[in-house]
Amino acid sequence: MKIYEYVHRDSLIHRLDPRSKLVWLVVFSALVFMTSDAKTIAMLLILTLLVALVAKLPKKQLWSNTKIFVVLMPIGYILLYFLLLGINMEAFVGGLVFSAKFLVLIFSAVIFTMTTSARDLLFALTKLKVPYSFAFMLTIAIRFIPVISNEINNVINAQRARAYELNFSFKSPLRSVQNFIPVIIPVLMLLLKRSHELSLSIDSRAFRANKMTYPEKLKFGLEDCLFLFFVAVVSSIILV
Amino acid sequence: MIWIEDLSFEYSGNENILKNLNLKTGKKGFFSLVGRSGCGKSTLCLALNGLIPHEIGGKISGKVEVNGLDTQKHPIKELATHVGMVFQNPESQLFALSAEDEIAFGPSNLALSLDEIEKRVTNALKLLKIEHLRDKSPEEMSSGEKQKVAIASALAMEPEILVLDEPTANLDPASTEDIFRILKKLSRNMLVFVAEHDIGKVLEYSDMIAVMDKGSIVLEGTPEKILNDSMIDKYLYLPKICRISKKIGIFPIVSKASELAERTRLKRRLSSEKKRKKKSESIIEIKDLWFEYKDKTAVLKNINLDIKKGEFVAIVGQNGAGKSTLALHLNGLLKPLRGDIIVDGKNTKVEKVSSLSKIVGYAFQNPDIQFFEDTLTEEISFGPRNLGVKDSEIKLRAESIFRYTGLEKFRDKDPFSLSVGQKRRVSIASILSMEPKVIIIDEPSTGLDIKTINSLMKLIKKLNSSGHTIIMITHDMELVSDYAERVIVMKNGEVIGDGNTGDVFNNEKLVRDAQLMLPELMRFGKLVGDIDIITMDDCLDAIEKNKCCR
Repeated sequence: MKIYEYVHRDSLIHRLDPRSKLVWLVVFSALVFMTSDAKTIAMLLILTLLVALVAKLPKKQLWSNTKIFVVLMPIGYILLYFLLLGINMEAFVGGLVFSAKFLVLIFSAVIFTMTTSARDLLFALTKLKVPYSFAFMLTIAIRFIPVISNEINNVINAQRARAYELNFSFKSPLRSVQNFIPVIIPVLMLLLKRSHELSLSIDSRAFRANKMTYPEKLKFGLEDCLFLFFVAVVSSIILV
Repeated sequence: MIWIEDLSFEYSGNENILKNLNLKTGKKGFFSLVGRSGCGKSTLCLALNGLIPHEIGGKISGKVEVNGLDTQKHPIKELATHVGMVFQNPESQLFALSAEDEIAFGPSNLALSLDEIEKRVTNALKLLKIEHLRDKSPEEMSSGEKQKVAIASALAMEPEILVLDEPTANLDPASTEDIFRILKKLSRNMLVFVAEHDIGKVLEYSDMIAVMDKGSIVLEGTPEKILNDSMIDKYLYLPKICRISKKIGIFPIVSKASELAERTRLKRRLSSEKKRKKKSESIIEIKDLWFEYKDKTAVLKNINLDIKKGEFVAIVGQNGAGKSTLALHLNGLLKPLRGDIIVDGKNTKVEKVSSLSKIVGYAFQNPDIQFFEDTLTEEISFGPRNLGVKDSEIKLRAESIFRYTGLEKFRDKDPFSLSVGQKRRVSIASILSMEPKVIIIDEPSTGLDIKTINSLMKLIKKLNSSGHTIIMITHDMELVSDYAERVIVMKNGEVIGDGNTGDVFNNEKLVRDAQLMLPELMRFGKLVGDIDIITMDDCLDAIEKNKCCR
């Protein structure tokens, strides 16, 4: 399991300063919720997908990261609109448009993470004056979630090797929680141990000895200017 | 320079872990601290950069000085520029998203200029020869590479002293040698201080060795002096070559296979007279097994194996060769993508893990991942209870297992309160209670000293003699040559060798391909032209028969 999936490609979008991409992410998300015009929303969705195309993202991976939303969102909203407005064309289009809004949001967020390495994101955040401790926490989260999920997997394997079966039933929730104890306790103990070890290692390297210097890695270039110009043009067309 | 005077320390509420300890090192060189697990080595390491007492509380008396700084008076962040620390587990030392960030972390904390940080990162990468890892994340690195990054991160603080606590405990033989070579090179310009339970690992690299026992330094001197000290056997197990040298009366004691070969001058004896009894009945059959994780991190390619009832099999190969992935298939925790695995007549594809666990028990490397009950008795009853065994029957089984494994006196203890060696025992005991025919043991020796390993292996050997099939995954070639009768060699998800222990190790190409280290006695055997030497007894036998040593 990964919460952050970066896909390395040599593309314009990858080369952009993460701050430009953040601007794009925020502006598009705002735009899509400021309008209710179907054509505008469709245009924004198409433009978003165009960004994915320019970024040369592998279609298969993009699809597997978003498919659950692409499939469930329209169905869910259309059903909701049917409930609210009765079964007619208007409700169908309404549900479709509303779900398209969310899809713009989801696609741009997914494209952002797939084209921006976690490191670059952190550099951008510290550049944008986000407190270092927050960026530090985020780093550790991104780094250790796969490690922890691996650990949980090991614990489950060890218990299954002793004929344990992991199951959850809504009929007897209390029983089910008890059923999780053989997994929860070792996982907690392992996490405690790991965080202790990590803290020793971090302390050994003079953490919080001074105000940190942070490597300068971001370059705001011509491509960024052009990209932001494009974002500005799109927003002015929509707003005017 | 490290200067310790009369240091005593106890974690709050426990007995003294360090007792009136005295130690003085030089300014440069390779200094090894050896001693059994639990003798206080790690605690001493933590005291060297002030983590004890500043971060880890307890009662401390005496004095620790590093480069003239009293560690009790100076804060950790100041000591951090004089003493670099590297811990045992590379996985929990690295937190950054790339090697570069990891190495830059320390210098950034010192608020150095960006140019200086960059210079130090580049330098550290170069010293460890890991320039290619600069932009890689820890997830993309092998354990050996991770440990190198951890060392580089410590070096970037430009300390005069580098302290490493069992730095190679989780590594395969090739990476282990690699790391020690690098440390030896570093020790020309700084003090490298290594805590290690196996004196054999550090013998050839050390300039000075201190032996620790029950919280104090009991012997100190050059490797030669330590080896020849009459008291050493009381505190440590010497490597096999040294023990043989001692037994047949070669003094001063030699530690290298080549030296022993030169001193004993055995006659060539190439015939392989010993025939092992053939076992015929299969217990596990693997046919055309292919496997791949979703993220393609591990693969198995076309594996065919036939494991016989009662065999003692070792699976060896580098980190990431697919050993554990293969073993996890044997009790159904992983299912084949293609091919079949038949365990005692049952196909793992259709059987549930819980029903296979009655046949194949799996003792994992880290026993901590399974403990959750308050007492050993409960922990051991967990498996059979899941299988629906009657309480009265479970009680009987627990009784006999306690007696068998020597854990009787701990039966009402909390498993977490035990030592690592005892925990391993409990993890095996909790498998035995399901009465499996096959027992898989993953890295039984990691983090244990030789005495503890020997007593654990005695238990495993006993299980094997009473008819259990044993499958052992390990990096420890000494264990393989001492106990296994058959060795399966893996590399990149394939089985590249399978045969009698002697045959596998005598196949030079195979040993080279899989980057295995020859066990020391077999190295000796090869030098004297006797390929039948595998165990201590074989070796002493051969020497006895030739009667031509000194």
